[in-house]
Amino acid sequence: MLKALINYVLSKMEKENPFSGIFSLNIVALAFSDPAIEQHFTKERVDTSKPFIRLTCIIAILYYSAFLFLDVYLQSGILYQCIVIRGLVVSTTIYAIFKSYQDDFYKYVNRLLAFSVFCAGLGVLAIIAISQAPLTYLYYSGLIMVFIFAVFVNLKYQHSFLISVFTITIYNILLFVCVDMENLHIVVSNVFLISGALIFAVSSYYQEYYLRRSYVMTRCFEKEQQAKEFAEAANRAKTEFLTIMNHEFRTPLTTIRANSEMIDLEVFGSLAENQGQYKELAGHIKKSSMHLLELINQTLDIAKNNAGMLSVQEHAFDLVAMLQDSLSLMDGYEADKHIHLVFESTLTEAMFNGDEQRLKQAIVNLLSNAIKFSKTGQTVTVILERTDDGYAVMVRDEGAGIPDDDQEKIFRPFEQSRNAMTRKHDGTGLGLPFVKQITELHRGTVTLHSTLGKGTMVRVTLPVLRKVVL
Amino acid sequence: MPKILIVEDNEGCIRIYRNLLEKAKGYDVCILTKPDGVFEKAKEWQPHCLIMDIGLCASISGLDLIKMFKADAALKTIPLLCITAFANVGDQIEAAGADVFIPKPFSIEELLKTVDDVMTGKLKARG
Repeated sequence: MLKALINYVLSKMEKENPFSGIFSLNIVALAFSDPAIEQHFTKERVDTSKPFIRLTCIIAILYYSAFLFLDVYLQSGILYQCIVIRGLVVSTTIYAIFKSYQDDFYKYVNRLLAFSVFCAGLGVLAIIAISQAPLTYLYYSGLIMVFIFAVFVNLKYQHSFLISVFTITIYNILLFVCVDMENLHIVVSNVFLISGALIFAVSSYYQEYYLRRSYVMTRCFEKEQQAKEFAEAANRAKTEFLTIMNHEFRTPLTTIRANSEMIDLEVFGSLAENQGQYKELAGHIKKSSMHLLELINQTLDIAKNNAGMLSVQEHAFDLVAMLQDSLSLMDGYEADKHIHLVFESTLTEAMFNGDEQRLKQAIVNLLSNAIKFSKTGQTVTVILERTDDGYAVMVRDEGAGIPDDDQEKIFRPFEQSRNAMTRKHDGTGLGLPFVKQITELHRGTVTLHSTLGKGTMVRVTLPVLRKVVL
Repeated sequence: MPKILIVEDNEGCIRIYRNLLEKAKGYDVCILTKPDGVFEKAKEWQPHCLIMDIGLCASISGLDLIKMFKADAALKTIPLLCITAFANVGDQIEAAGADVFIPKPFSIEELLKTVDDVMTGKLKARG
């Protein structure tokens, strides 16, 4: 019934329910359904309102202590008891202020403050119980001040309401059992106390409801902003990627077009008399065509993998032979650097079930990167090892190394493509993402160990998928 | 012998320039694979033209390099032919001060004609 009533009131106030999806809210308990969100909300609320909570507590302490003057004037016979009671109550509030300086305050803030407020109420009730008639009736107004304290200290509305109910109940029991008060005063005090309790409960409810509403609105706005920024970044990355791909496709096309035109125009003289020179040009055309094809295939593989459509063509092959073949493909690659290519393995044969062509392309990508980032005369080493569940291939260079910040990024497609006109190294930026994707399709892992100025080692693990012939 | 200074880092393109401009056409060709030292080389060697690949993988952007080249009084009279595989940057390259912009993949006839125009004085640096 309470839920129906709250729902009705809220439906009149709100056009749309702001609490939906992960932010769904129990409107009676005023708590988010998701405990993680509830905890985050509480922490944020407490963290931001700590100064206000402390200020409220200090004002409450001053007020509570100041009313000692009333005791001096009205209850001089029990002044000592009043000092002890007020002292105890003030101590609990001081304790709450002290605890608010601890980092985990948000975890028990409601219980602690509820205890503090309830003690304040019990203190007033205790004075009422021992006070001398006929001026006892004046003290019930102290309970209203306690209810106000509960609202200002940001107590949850249920706690605030329960404290009011308990306090009023105890107050009436005291009136019945031990306090001598006129009937008129009993009625008047109850009217004010019950009205005050209800008003403050509703006030606490709305205060907390709007705090939660504001929290959800802020989170939704932040999520929208993040989604917008993500979409803009993705769009920029796509544009940059297209620019780079355009560049990378045009470069081998230049070789193909210029060399074929040189043959067509017979720039060295007649074809028949200069066959050797024209054959060399044809060789350049062939090499550039193959490079172009590799680029297209890798781009398509990455696109297919992103769409979940890439599958590996598995067959048994020798990893040792494949690695040696990959190394031989690098002969003449950046020849002027004179990089030493070394293969290290105690294995003479390592049969593996996998996609030989794609794995070879992945190794070639690692090698070409290692060579690209090496200086003249340095060594690039390929190591093959047996592991507990398969094989590990390491490609190690002695180059510049990769900064820590970039080590994760370089495995994400298109990262290298930032700032196309000013980038420091050639390439599409698809090489390492391709390695990662192909390795993961073989249920392997790629790890990178790099030290600036000392070099980089990429370790590719290839667990034996099915049958291994040793 | 007409001298051409070239800044190009792509191995395939370097072979094209060697075969076409040096072997086939007989120009005196000097190729730098990095833009470092290009200004000093141009001042010392006094080429008839400079062919430069824009978007070279270097610490300085190709556009800045053009501006610096054209801002140098001793170099601005050398015709600057800019070649790049980046599409849609012709306006930026010409605005930076390049005399001719040739996009990759270029036609060798177009390249030869441009170089001929420079050598015969039909095409002069904008200064």
